[in-house]
Amino acid sequence: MLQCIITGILLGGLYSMIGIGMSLVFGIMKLTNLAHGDLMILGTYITMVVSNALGFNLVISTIISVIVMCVIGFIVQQFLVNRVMDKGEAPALLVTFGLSIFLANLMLKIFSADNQLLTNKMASVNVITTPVLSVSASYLISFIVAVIIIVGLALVMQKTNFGRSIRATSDDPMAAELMGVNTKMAFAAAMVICMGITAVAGTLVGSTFTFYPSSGTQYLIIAFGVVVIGGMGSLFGTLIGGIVLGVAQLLGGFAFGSGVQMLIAYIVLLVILALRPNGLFATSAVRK
Amino acid sequence: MSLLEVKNIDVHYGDFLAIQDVSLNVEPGTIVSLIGANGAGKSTIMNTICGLNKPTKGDIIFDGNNIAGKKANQIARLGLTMSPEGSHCFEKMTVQDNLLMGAYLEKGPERMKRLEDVYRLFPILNEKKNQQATYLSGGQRQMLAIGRGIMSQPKILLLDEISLGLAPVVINDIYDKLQEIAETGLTMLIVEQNVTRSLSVSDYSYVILEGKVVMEGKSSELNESEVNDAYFGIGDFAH
Repeated sequence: MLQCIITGILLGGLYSMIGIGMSLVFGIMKLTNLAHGDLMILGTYITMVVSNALGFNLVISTIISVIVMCVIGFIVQQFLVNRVMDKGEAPALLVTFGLSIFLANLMLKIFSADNQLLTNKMASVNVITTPVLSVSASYLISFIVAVIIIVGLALVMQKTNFGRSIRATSDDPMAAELMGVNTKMAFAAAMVICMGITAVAGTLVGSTFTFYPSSGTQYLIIAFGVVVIGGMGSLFGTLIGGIVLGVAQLLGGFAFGSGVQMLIAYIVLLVILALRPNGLFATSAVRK
Repeated sequence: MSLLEVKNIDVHYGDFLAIQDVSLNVEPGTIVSLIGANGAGKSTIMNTICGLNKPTKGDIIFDGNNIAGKKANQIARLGLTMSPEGSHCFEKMTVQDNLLMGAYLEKGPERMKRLEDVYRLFPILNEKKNQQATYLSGGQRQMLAIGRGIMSQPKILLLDEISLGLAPVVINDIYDKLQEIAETGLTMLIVEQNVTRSLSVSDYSYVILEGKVVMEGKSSELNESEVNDAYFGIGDFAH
């Protein structure tokens, strides 16, 4: 029981990492990025390729993957999404849907359908091992990284001129433009940050679970769950959302067997949606 | 030399010709007002100058640059700040963050000094600095929008319909502040529906009717009843 709760909280950190990028993109530009999961898995594959082909360790591979994903994020925003943003939410949504299908099939073509796992020393190491409780190092690292990124991001958004301009653009793009903000670049910057974070999430996911080219959809649904529970666009809501989902999943598995654990998690999601349709920490702009 | 010179611009919305051959001049250190009824095209002219609309013909020369067709954020960088109709405060941000956004292009410590100046001008904003803009009253929102405008320390400030929907006593208050701002030498181009107020606050006025300039002159020399005829398109201005 205790084991389930602790592991659930730590797993929640990983889930919130998966959700942050999606939550931010929605909070800032009201865009539901259906390619979020596939972009994350792309990040995982990039980490894998860099570490396998060039022999770098996982940290350096992740940094390279973050850089590549930032560039991809910029291209996606500047050349695909920004072009249709003015035409309403549906065209932008469809663009990301198309991108999702494209990426999943591109990865299938390049990497084949085989299961992969990012090999790392952490996966099998337990930081705490007692008869009642054992904590895996990779879960703990995921959780710590998630907290650091969320706190860091919240500080950037609240305290810096850059963060303020992103919030202003999300709030009233026309007024932001009149204050001298290049709003299209602000959207692109937001997407770049989200993709960088998502690449980190990709590495964490890939070193915790096996993955294959079509894994994206599975993680898109987790990201949806996290973001919906936490409230679209709320950073700390994302962390809480991840933890709620993680704990619900493991307690559900503990009570009813691991076969139905995701079912239990999504029942919790539905209950929360019924009670608080906007999520626990609803906001449409990025706030603490 | 004029600070802002609008030369024979046309503006279309689709096929509809909203603004036809409009020319304006704004001399440095003056307040110029655009007078006209609802739908006359005042806001369209303002939006075209600040880059939210593109003119289909003509030039807009600001401080030596032709800004016609440039993007709004590029024009803002040249020192032309516009406070749009309906104040457009950043609703979910605090009053202070709204003001700091006004000084977005100024990265240095100068911002804090400007912030103090704005708080001195509008003490109510200082009291409410940590509140979200969405909780402000209509008059306070307008003060915030004006304060945000002067935070950028522009060469010219465009104010579109700052009295819209406000109680007369609040309007008086805001215009008193505008006089204070004008005394610092800031050039302004304002849109105001109230003819009497418009003429009393400005140095020079243009009357807009159906997308054209139908009358212009020094505000002190314009005859108010003639301006009213032009405003409504009656008398000599009927067609």
